[in-house]
Amino acid sequence: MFFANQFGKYRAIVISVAMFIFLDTGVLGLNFYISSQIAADAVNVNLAGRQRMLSQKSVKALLEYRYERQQGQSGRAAYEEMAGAIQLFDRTLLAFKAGGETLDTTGQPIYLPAVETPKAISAVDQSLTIWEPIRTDFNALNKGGGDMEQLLNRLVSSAESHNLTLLKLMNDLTNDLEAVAKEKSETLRLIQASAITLAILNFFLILFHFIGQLRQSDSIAETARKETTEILQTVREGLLLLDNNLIIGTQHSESVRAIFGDQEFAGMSFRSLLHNLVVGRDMSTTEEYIKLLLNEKVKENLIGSLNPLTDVEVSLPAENGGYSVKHLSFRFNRTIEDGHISHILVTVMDVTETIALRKALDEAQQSNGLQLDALKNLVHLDTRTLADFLRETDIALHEINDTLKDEAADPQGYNAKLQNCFRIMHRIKGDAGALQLPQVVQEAHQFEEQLQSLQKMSGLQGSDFLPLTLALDAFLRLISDLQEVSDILKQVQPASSAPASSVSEPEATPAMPLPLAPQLALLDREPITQLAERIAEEQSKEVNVIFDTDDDLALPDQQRSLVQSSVIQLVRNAVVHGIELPEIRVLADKSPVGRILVRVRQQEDGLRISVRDDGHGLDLDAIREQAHSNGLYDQAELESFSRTRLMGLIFHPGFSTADNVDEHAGRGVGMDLVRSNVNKLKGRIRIGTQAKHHCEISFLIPVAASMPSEEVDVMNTQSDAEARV
Amino acid sequence: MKRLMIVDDSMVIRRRISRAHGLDAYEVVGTAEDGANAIELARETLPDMITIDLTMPNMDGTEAIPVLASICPNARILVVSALSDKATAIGALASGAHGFLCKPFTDEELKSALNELAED
Repeated sequence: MFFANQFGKYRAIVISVAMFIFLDTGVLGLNFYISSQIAADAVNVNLAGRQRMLSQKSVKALLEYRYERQQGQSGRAAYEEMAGAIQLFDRTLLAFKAGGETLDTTGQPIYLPAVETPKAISAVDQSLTIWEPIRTDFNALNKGGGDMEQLLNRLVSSAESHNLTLLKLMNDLTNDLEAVAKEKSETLRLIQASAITLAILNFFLILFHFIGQLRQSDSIAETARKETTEILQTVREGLLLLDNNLIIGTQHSESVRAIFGDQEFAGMSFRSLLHNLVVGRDMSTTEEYIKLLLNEKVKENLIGSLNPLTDVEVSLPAENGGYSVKHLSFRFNRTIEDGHISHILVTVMDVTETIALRKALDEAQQSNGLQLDALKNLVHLDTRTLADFLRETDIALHEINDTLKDEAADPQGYNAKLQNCFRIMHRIKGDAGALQLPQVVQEAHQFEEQLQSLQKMSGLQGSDFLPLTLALDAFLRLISDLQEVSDILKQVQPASSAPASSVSEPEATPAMPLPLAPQLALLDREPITQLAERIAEEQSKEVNVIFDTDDDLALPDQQRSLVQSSVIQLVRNAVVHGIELPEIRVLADKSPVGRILVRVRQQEDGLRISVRDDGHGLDLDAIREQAHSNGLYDQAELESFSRTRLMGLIFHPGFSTADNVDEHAGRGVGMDLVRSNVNKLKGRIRIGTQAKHHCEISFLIPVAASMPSEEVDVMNTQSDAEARV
Repeated sequence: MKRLMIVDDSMVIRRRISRAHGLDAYEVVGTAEDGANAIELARETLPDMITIDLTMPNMDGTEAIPVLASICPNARILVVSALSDKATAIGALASGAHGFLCKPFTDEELKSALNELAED
């Protein structure tokens, strides 16, 4: 298991090599051991042979010594030669017998092991029996004293009589030692031959094993190659790999040819491929982008949006010989090898059809007066909310149409008509903004601009209203289109739990708080929050809308719609006019995030709905100035106004303190609309404000009896000035 | 705790980043409204992470990034900018930034971009 884990696919080769090394080492060890034994045996054979020579040499020297003595000479040299030969023979013979030291042929001491074979032991033992008396006589001679002549003669006689026997015995010893050495040599040869055979076997084993493995892996590689080729031939995208010099690799999908024409891509630079397709700065940007992808420090996920070639319009050779305009989209991805970026995978897609489809869709949407964004938002809206809005807008637009049709007798009449149209249109715009229907907001804004330009004209005539009716027709068509979409959405989205509202609901009835089911919650919070955040973002402000409402409270549809519309205007007003820029708020020791509190409370006398912001409060001087410049009142009148009456002016038609007219502010219609709505609800408005601190506008909807709403009365508190309008 | 420096000429964006939810792992060590101030601040605070806009007065992000990269060679630089000109953004990244986040962005997008850069 360990082996398998450690070496994986290389296990077989590791085992084979290990076996080879083991075998080789074993054979080498044996070889060395036996060779050393053979070497020792050779010395033995050599020394045994020397014994033969020494036996003859000692007899010869002995005879020479006796002759020279008989001639009266000292015979010293012969004696020394004889003594040397006898002593060396004796020492060597004893070593053969029991193991011991002697001198080798060079005179160096050498250890001889005792002979072990029976033949050799017998030869040595017999030799020693014969040799024993000779050694004794020699020792006595060497010692001196006694009858030397007799001793010498006996020694000569003994040596002569045993000479041949001794020679034969030493010959036997030599032959036996030679036979042993020969046997060992043969063993060594056998071992070597076996080892070589095993090594050859091992080699073939490895060879066949690896040929098998190679065939297997070749087959796998071939299958993989075929599969890759199949994928590359089938895939619709153009796929190619770039190295870090932006050179195209050898493999690419067949679609690359379909896209770029039939040519050799391998080894070509990416720059050449894009030649004539991407030019100038785009090309260098693309190269820079790819280099970023090759930079391991840069995160691939975080630069995807910078891809410069997401849509490239190119003219490519067509099948019929001409050129066709195509749209190509390139995608670049890293390929990772061993934890490092090895290549960049380029995916090229022909998105011509997608682009054409998108264009057609855009055109279709534009011709229908619907933007993709609007459609997208419609899908996310509650179908009931959308249907309510569209129904009321349709009614409102027809109301404008009716107003425009009425012949006015005098300029005041025309101005009143314009003001009425303004108010209605402003409400539509506010509601559409809250529902994120930009197309409707845009249409309403343009209509308001047309109304305003009419207001500035003097001597208005009925014909001056003609462009308005045309614009109104377009607006009605847009609403009708949206209604069609809304009807489709109704079928697609799960049915709302709320029952369909009645279009023919009579004039506002007193508010009747109802349980939540089956009615919708009193306020639809999400569009209010979204509107506030969107306006805040556009004005570089930060705002947090907080709702404090009782979820059990509900109202009939028409009242609910009026309350929702009023709250939208009040929240819009709070963001635009109340909440300060973050830097200004910080200077005033406030949180940079403005806070708008929308609260609905049930009281004994009805429902109180309030919108309170922690902005700079109402600026009475600005209101006074604006009222004067609008020509509503002259300076003297304004000076005489109480604080509360001044505040009440913000509900006057056409009153606005905003510096510029934009989508959100400036026409002075929003608060007028709130007043109109509250009137329909038979309610009362109250304003509370403290300079630099807050502004709270609330309205009370009576539970039962209607109350006169045109009355204005005033009450003051210690910190706030309040006005009921 | 990673030391984060925010460079953007818009106070709204600076505040938006410093108050984004889920960035508990980052400590804002300073904010600068242009490239020149960012360089000065980087010398003092040696941040680990920098978010930087490209279009700023005095010294823009493209000029500031290589200098910031040399002052804090280990800092990870995230370009946070509107995608009006890809070439400029790519050039800025090539000069030493490590990632790009397109304005407008959500807290979640900001968090995952910073976390991804902080991984190394």
